[in-house]
Amino acid sequence: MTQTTPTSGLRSDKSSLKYTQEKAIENSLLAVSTLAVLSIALIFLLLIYQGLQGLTVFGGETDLSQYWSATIEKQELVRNPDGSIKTDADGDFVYEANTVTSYDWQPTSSDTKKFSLVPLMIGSAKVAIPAAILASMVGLLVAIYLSELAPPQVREVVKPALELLAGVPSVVLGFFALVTIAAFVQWFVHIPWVFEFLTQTPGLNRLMFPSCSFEAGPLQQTCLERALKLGTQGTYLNTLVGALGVALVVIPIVATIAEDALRAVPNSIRDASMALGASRWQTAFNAVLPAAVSGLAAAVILGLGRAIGETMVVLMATGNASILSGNVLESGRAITATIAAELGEAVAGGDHYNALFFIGAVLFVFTFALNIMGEIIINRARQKVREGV
Amino acid sequence: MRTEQKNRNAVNTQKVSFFYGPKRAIEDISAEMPERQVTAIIGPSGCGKSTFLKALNRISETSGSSVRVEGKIFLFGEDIYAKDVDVTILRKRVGMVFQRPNPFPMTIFDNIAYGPRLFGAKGKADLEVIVERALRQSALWDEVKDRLRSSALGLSGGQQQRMCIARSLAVEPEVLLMDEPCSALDPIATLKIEELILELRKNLTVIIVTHNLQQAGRVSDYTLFFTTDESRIGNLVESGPTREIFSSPKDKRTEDYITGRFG
Amino acid sequence: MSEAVKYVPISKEDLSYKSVRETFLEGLLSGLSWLLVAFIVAFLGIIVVRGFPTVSANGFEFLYTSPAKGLDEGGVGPAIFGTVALVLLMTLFALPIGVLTSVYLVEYAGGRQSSRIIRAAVNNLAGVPSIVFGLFGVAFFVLFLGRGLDGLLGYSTSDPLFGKPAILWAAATMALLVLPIVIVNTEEALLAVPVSLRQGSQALGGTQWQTISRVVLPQAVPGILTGSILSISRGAGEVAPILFTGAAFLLQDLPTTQVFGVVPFIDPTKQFMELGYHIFILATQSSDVEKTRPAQYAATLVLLVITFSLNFAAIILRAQFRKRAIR
Repeated sequence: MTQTTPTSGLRSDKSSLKYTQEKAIENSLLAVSTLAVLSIALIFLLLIYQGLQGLTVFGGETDLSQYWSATIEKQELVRNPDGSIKTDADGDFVYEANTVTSYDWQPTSSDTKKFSLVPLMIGSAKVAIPAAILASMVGLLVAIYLSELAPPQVREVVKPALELLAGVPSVVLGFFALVTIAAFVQWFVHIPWVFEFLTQTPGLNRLMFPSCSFEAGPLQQTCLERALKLGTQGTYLNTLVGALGVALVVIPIVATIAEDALRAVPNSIRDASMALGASRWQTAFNAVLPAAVSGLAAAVILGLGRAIGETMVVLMATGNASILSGNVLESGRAITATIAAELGEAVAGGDHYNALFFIGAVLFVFTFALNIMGEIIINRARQKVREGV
Repeated sequence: MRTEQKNRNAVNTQKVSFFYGPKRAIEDISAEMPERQVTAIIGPSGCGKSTFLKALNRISETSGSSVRVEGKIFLFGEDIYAKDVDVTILRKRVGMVFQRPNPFPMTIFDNIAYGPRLFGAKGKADLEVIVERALRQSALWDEVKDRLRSSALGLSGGQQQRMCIARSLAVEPEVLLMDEPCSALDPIATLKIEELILELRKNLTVIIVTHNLQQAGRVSDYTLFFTTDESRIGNLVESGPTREIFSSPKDKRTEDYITGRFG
Repeated sequence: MSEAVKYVPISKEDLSYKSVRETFLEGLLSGLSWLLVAFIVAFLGIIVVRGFPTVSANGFEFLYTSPAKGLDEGGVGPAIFGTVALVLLMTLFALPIGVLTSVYLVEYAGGRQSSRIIRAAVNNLAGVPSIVFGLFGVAFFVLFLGRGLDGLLGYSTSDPLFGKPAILWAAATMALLVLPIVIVNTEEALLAVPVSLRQGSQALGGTQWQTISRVVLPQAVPGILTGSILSISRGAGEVAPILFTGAAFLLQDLPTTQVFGVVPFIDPTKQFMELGYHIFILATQSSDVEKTRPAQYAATLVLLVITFSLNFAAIILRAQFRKRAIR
């Protein structure tokens, strides 16, 4: 040995190269990870700070209610007692000024700027909820099939296909939704019996097309047909198209998390069930699923969080009109798409800019809560498995 | 067995207790392990043999969980838990062989040279000398001399374990701790390791934890018998020259354990 | 099971209600899975079939020519360059920070409460919507850091050097976005190295860093590589974070600068074109969306080829790595 340590003695020279080097490395690693942690903390803090700034739109007053509704003056048509529109002597419509509550998002409007989050939340919900429902159904079923029932050869095809889908950038899925899914939806709702079903079913048509909810007749028919032409400016983009596109983003996420949850169920449970004479199906549904149910719930929650946070697909495929409508066949403006579409034009520090940061903070808090919820459920489930259920 | 009874102690401990977090694993162990002899630590499972052994080179501190030692452990009279002790020097002087062979995923040569390199050995010629000596000491040289540059993972289990012993010897330790070194090996490989242990005690102190009473009887000069009570805390029942412990145990529990196994 | 136990023949020809239902359900589930596969294949097929003719026309000039006549004609050369430059810079930021952080978290701060909190924060960072990163990028990098630097260097806000969207800030934003991917994959790789190897090294007197650098890291390299490739792929595909931090509609110049008059370097203060953003612009903002449809498909195909080849490399590496870890 070139360098021998004394056979007696356990101390080393604290000023030796090896010792200082060791300390220096540990300290610099600590510094770098502190930097990483700080930048994460910074994201959280800055968003909250900017979000609070957003509360002071409207001349520095802290006023949360403006994000719900605004009271504005509006010229409205006057109606006769029988419901027809009142006309004056020249046959022109009569208007009168009314004070109404507006639920509008019009941050750059020339007269009163309106910052109601209601249409944006409706927009986000119209995209995220159908997308999460569809993706959860498909994702969970595929996960169950892959983990419990599929022969290995099938698994080897389906699994990589899912991974492929997971790797597709969301802008590509947005493009696909914009071009192909939109055309498909357009074709689908114009299949005669679908069209008939949607427009002629009493109740359904009012639900789907609240703007046409007047008495049946040629006028309503025209309105429904117009509504089916789908929305603004002759495009056929609507929240259903967006939701289908977002579902494509979410399916692989739900399927992956759900499959992990199912695989975490120990084989001893399967063996026990099979040994009692249960078929693979009975084992899957009566023994494995109950053991994995919290993991599957987490998959759905995390999928919903992802659906709410998705930006590009929504921006490209929903039409982005901020309207108050629960109809998925009409356009909608989600929170994410609003930020993406408007931040470029907002003046830094202005009301609009601050309002966008506020809705960003709302989005952040919401998705963050969903993520934490999912995380906690998954950790609990893991603990349960580790402790032997 | 050995005639020279008046050896000084390589390791001795005073009232050592060991804690995993808040849980006490062993309690008040005061023991002596004489120099250049083989000390066997025996006892039923869960009695804290391995815990005690791993406290002797402070390797238990590397597991990541919080551990704590009370009492004092001396290596040739020096307190190894003193504040300014450099654990790397301690571990260089007190080598360790683990339950399962743990060769690094490198060549056999690099495995053996790993330790010397840590302490600054560089020259190829120097290293070749060290590697050959260590492999000869562990009776592995003839088996592997033609494939020093191939992966250590290609060796059999027994060979891997002997290579791990050689790897420990390459840094010239004064004490070698062995934690059930044969539990993963077949009888023939076990026999080879036992022969090796008898060879090693000419030059260094060996402390071996074993489940196998015959093995303790075959290789050790000195024996510590651990057991555990209802509280699941390990303690030292009896210690002394192996012959005495095996032929005329003073404590009833020792006798039960030994006769139970032999009977 | 309600009736008394009776003899049940153990044979394949069981046509009971139970068996029929199970066959039906199994068919349904496998049908659904295959439908999904067919859909994915069709989806990719459409993009390849529609995109390839444009990409391959005139000796693949689509790949290196600039957009012409507004965005109506020409190729995606600058967008490809911008994407590559973006992910290069991003990797430069994210990789060292991510890897070193995970080394510290796993090897030094292993069981501590603080490391658990950090891990939870990192996991949650992965779930933050990408547009939120865009917001942060604007507020922190462009306006705070950029304007702050300009203030120090004496540039005005009307003619800023750093206080404007630039590839530097886009890459920094993207680096934050992919940081969790790097950290999670590196941690997985480090934790896959058996404790016995670490103890083997330390039992020989190896210090912590000697153990990490000589035993642990060499073992973890494939896993770390997997993580970095996955993060590069993610960075190449994300658009939302760069919408306001640096991506440009149409640029005649590449984001480069001449150093010593010859070698083109990435100029961190310039804006850049990026493939994903280019697709978004072509599909939604160009003057005649229908006319540029072939170019949209073609650009999409190029982006898919880039991200898929990266993902494919990562999958292969990971498979190799898992094989080694099992052994």
